[in-house]
Amino acid sequence: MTEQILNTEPILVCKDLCKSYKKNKPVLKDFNFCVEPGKITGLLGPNGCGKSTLLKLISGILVPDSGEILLCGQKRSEKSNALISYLPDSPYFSDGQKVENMLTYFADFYPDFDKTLALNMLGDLGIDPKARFRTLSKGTKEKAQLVLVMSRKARLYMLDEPLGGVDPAARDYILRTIIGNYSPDSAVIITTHLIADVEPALDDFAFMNYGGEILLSGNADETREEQGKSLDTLFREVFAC
Amino acid sequence: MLRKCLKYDFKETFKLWWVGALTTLLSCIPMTLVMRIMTNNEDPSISDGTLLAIPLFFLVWFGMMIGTVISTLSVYIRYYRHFFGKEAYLTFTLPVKRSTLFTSKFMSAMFFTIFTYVILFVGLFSAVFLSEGGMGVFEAFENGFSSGLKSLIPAAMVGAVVTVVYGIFLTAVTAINVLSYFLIITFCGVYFKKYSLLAIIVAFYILGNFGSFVVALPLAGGFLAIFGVTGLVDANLISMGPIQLVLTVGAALLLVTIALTAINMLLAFLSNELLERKLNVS
Repeated sequence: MTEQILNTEPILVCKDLCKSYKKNKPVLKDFNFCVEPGKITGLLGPNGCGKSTLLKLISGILVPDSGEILLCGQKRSEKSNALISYLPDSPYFSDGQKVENMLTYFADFYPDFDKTLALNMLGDLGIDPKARFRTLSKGTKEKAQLVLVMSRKARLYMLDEPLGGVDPAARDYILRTIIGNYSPDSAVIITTHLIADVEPALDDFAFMNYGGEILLSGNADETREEQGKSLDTLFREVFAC
Repeated sequence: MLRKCLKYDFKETFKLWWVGALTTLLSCIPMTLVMRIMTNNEDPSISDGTLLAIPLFFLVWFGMMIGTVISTLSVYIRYYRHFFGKEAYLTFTLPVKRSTLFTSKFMSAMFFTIFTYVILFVGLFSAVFLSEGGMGVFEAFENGFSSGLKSLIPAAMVGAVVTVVYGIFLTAVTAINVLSYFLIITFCGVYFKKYSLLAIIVAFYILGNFGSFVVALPLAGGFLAIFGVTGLVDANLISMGPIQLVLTVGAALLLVTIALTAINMLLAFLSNELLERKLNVS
């Protein structure tokens, strides 16, 4: 019974979240958002609408001006970082580091990190664990970073543009990894412009406009059925310039 | 978690620190040779060499200082990169309190800064000792202990007491140095964003000059008093008895150390507050 209650509790709740970088120019204004376990949610919107800002607020690298973030029912703190596996939109590695050193680093700080799984995934993607990051291309760095993030058993995975710099051949593998590696107790938030690529993986979606306004959201399959068109087509219509 | 943070801070800082430390140590070899030439003035055949040795001395001294600066800066480079560089995305998503991250940086910075000074002094004293140029200073310093301090404590303990008292004082001075620079980096990182590095360099330059002056005053005063007690400075210069002088210097050092500790706590508190409440990595 207890397990049942835990499983249905939202993993992430954002209440009246506000954030602005400049005065009178809010990136997020009274933003409300909820993510349930077992779902892969696509956060889709034009450039500068606040998708990355939202993920940064949830991960704790930005401080909200006001509002509240709850993770598994608890107010956000350093402890909640243990529940989140966050992939930022740019690589954060020091160039002199070796890939295998980062595996050790993750294993040291995150008890839920599966080093064997990470090594297998690196092997599948043809990344040498002994390579230094300075010797890797931008796309390979992103792949390596994604491997680290997806090799954790976190409750919430947040992937900011996970396919941005990755070649089309590796995209399928990455999407299979995203779908295959998370458990029903966890959830995934993906932000991307490559809607057609991620669409098959999405359970839920939210179209986010400037100021953090949610224009449209819901179940991906139901919306496709109701509208008779793909999310990609719908996105192009909603955000047509 | 502090232990894990320390492990990585030590490892990463060491990667740059050793380059400076090695430069400083290697500079001691030519420094010894140059000082040997300079102190052998009695031999007329090397008078030209002595003249040549003067610019060489400053060149080697410059190399030594460069090494020390690299070693000293390594702790601040680590702090900046980890908190305000691209690594910040990883740093602040670790399940570690920000105060723990800060404490780890502070502890490793103290260790490496103190060891930078130790290496510099070891290098300099080795050069002086090997060149036999400054033996008189060593002897005078050793003999000087016989006056004031020996009246208060057993002779065997004099060296240990001076080391401990000055050790605590110098640790507090080093801490104020480290924490001031940490606060500057944190302030510039939080408020200057894109221009943080430029702001840090300007602030380091200003504080470096001002700080050196402020720190030099108590240091110079303290050393003068100790030298007075130990007989290196004519006792008549200081119009009090040796016991009184030892007690006065001790009390003054204690008060200054307490004041420095209070300032250190304030600096650490301010940095932590900025990191906790104002930091926006973007």
